Order: sequence, then C-alpha cells, then structure tokens
Amino acid sequence: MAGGGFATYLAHRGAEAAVTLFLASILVFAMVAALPGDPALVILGDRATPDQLHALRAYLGLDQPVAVQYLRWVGRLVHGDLGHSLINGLPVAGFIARALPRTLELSLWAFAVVLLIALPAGIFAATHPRSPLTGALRWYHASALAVPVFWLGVLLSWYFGVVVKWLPPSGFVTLTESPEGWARSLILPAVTLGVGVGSLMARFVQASLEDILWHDYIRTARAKGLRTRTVIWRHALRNALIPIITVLGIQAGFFIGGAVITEAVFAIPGLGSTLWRSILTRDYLVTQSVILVGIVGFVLISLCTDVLYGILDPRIRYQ
Amino acid sequence: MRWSTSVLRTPSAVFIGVLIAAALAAAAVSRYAPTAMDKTAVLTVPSWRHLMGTDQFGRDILSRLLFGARVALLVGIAATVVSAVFGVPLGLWAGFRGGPADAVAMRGVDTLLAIPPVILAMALVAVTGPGSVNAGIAVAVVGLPQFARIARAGTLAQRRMEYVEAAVAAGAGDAWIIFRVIMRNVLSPVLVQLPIGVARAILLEASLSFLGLGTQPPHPSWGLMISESREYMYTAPWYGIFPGAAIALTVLALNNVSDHLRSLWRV
Repeated sequence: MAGGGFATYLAHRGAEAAVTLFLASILVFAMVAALPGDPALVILGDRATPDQLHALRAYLGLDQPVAVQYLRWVGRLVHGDLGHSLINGLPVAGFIARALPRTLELSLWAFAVVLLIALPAGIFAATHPRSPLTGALRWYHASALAVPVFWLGVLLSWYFGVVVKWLPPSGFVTLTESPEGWARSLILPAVTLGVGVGSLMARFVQASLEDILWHDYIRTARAKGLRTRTVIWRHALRNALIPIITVLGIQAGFFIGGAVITEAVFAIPGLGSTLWRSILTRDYLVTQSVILVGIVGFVLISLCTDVLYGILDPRIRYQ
Repeated sequence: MRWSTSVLRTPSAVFIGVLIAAALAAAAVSRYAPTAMDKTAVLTVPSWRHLMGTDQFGRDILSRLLFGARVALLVGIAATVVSAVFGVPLGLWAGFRGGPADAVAMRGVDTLLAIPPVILAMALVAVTGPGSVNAGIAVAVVGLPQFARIARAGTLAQRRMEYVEAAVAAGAGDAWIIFRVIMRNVLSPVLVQLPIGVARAILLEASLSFLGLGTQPPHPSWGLMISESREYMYTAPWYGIFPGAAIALTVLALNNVSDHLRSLWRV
C-alpha cells in the first residue's frame, strides 16, 4: 500500500517537473528565436560573410516554421549537440563539461559553509531563546541577508587576499594540480556564497526546532533523563530536518544565482563565469545552453528534495 | 487591516525616508556633479572637501553615491510596482476563477519560478541588451511571480467566504468581485511583500550593474561603483566600502520595515 502511494507521488512530481522543463525550454529556445530581425545576423554581427550567415541559418533552421525549429533544437540537445561558440568555434558541450565540475566543487564547499553556520546558530537560538547571543544572531542574520554577495566577495578577496595575504585573492587551482592550492582557492568563494544562504537556513533550523521542542515526545525524552544534546540531535533535529530540506530545494535558486556572481568575482572558470562571459561577448548559443543547464539543475534539485521529503515524511505522499 | 504610524517611527523607515529625500534632492545636496572629473584629486582619502573621498577620475564618491541612490530607488521601486501591478491581478484572477484558467496561469508562474532569479535576469538582459532600463524590466519580470502567488493564495482563502458568495448571488460581475470585494482582503500580504520586493530589486539591479549588464558608465550606480573600485581596493579601500554599505543598509532597512508590517498585521 505504502509503496503504491509513494509510486503515485513520484509519478506526479516527475510529471510536474517534466511540464516545467518543457515550458522553460520553450522560453530558453525563444531567447534566440525572438532576437529582433534576422537572428543569424544578430548573432554573427555585421562582418559575417554571406556564406557564414547561410550556414548558421541552415543550422538553426530559420527557413522552417518555429515549431519545427524548436523540435530540431530539442533533437540536437538530446544528442548532446549544444552548438558551437561563435567566439572560438569550440563545441559548447565541451566547455560545459569542463566548467560544470568547477561549479559543483564550489557548491559543495559553500554547502559545507552553509551547514557550519546554520546548524550551530539555529540550534543555539532555538534552545536558548532568552540568551543575548540569540538576539545578536538575529541581527547578524538580518545583516548577512542584506549584504550583496558580490560586495562580500570583493571585501573578502581584498582583506584576506591582498591585505593580510592568507589566501589567493582570486583564481582557481584544480584538485589534480595541487590539492592544497585547490582548497585554498575555494575557501573565500565558498564563504562568500555560503554566508547569505547560511543565515537563511539558520532561521529555518531555528523556527523548525522551536516548533518541535514543544512536542510531548521531546518532553518524554527529557523526562526519562536523556542529555539535552541527545534530545536535540537524536530526536528533535531528525524531525526538524523535514521542513529544512524543503526550504533547501526552494532556496537552491538563490544559491545558483549566488554561485554565478561568486564565480565572476573570484574568476573561477565554472558555468557562472561561462554564462557571464558569453553574455558580455554576445555569444548567444553559449548563453542559451548554459541557462538551460542551470534550469535543468534547479528543476532536478527541487525534484530530489521533494522525493527526499516523501521518503522522510510518509504523510506527504497521500496529500 | 489597521494602518499604524508606528511603522513610520522605526529607525529603518526613517532611514528609507532620508534616503528617498537625499536621492530626490541629489542635485541640490551634492557639492559636485556625479560625473565631474578632477585630475588633481584622484583617489583621495575622505576629507572635508570630499567626505567619502574620490575615485580614479577624481569624481566625488559621495555625490556619485547620492545620484546612485536615484538609480537604485527608481529601478527598485518602479520594477516592484510593475511586478505588483501585473502579478497581483493575475493571481487574483487565477485564484478566483480556479479550474483550467488557474492551472494555466500558475504553470506559467511556476515556470518563471523554476528559473533562478539571477539567471532569468541575465537571460533577459542577454536578449534585450545591457542598460538601466532593460535591467529594470528584467528585475520586474523576476519579481512578478511572487506577487501572483501571494495574491492567489489570499484569494483561494477568501473565495469560499460568505461575503464573496453573497456578492456572486447579488449578481456582481467578476471584475467587481475581484477588485472591489476580494482585493481589499488580500492586500496586507501584498503590502508586506512590497518592501521585500524593492530590497530584492535593488540587490538584483546592483548585481547586474556589477556584472556590467545594468547601468553603464559613466552613470553612477552602486553596483557599478563596486565593480570599478576593485582595481583600487588596495590603495583606496573606502571607494568600494561606501557603495556596498549603502546597498546593505538600504536592503536591511527595507526588510525591517517589512518585518514590522508583518508583525503589525499578523500576516
């Protein structure tokens, strides 16, 4: 019975994600199709030769009806053909494959920062409602959410990279080149990206724990003499995690946006800087592909968090 | 919904008020034109002549900050008003009609929400081209779904209430019911969202300008000033610190005003 309910829930959420992806893909397709005038001319610029224009028009299928152009575009995507950069002629799929791991590495490090801030700060505030530190944390979170990501990045890079020279101010070292250099090059970007989301999460950890600490089972756990630490980590936090995971899915968009800006500030050669550079150089096909990858990533994260939510809280499957 | 002047007396509201006044009177208040260069005073430390110092062209940073406040507030407020003016009626209509109309409208809104805000804004600017106006339009589009969602949620809660059914029974038209009967009862969450919307819009505009996709030089914009200050952070750290602090304080104040309204109206 429960398995059937979960399967239905999965199918329902999967179908929803598929519809969202389909609609979003139309928007992304329209980005290039809706360029004013002749998209081939806009993309290649005035200095393009008639042959080049002709080739790009044929590639994009501009002489075909829009629906056919869309289907052909999706067909190429499915086969892994994301087009070629107009700036250096390299296949876009290639640079996405090279840039994606950088973005994932940054995200993992930043996620660690988020947890390092959110769990201790959230748990402390929920368990010490009257402490002056809890009041101070409230102000800290409000300020951390008001500080623009790029400004925090500029300040950290200046102070730790230039003034005290503890860490490289920008740039990226791969893990294979030097594990130590890799870690050092990701610390400042991870903090830049993690601080805002960390405060956001800390508030949810706090709110969600506060709700749970009133429940009878927590009182029972305390009454039978368990230590506060055990009650929090073993009993309360497990249930508090459910709403936290949902929030994580919702805030992933904020996180992805922050990653784009952080990569730009610290010159990390990930998807974010690829997107940024492609917009500045009007490399439309690259822009289009990277945006699509970003949306697919975000939709997948939301789907995963919903599935996880269904696993952790069986009640949700029947709603 | 009870209006209280207590909101206006909070330090945050006072700060926003002073900022708006300073932005409006920027031309009268500032001692220098925001684009006036002075080769004899390049990157000078803050002093009585230049309270916040000067930038790499000898332009007065305080004057640029004040004129930059115009860009931030204008784009922030205008974009948020546009988001609300389109988003709220869409949400009201979808929530009231229900059924396929609601499903279609909300699919569209969810699709916009499925694109991370910064990426959606960058995509729109990539098509329309960099600049203050195009960045403002992008910011407005990014903010729209939030207002539609809030208005729809409120409408769904009100739709089954007896006073709405009474209006339907009395033969009132859809538009009358939506705008005259329901809207006033879903307005408080929308009003609470407004300052947050402006704060997010200001952050997004600043981010776009920082990336070179929003306001273009030589016009002063807070995000652009931070981006230009990067090369001189070592010799002139104040250059990048003042505009960033301006953004952070403005956003903090707007969020506080919103929190205050939320607790006042128990939204």
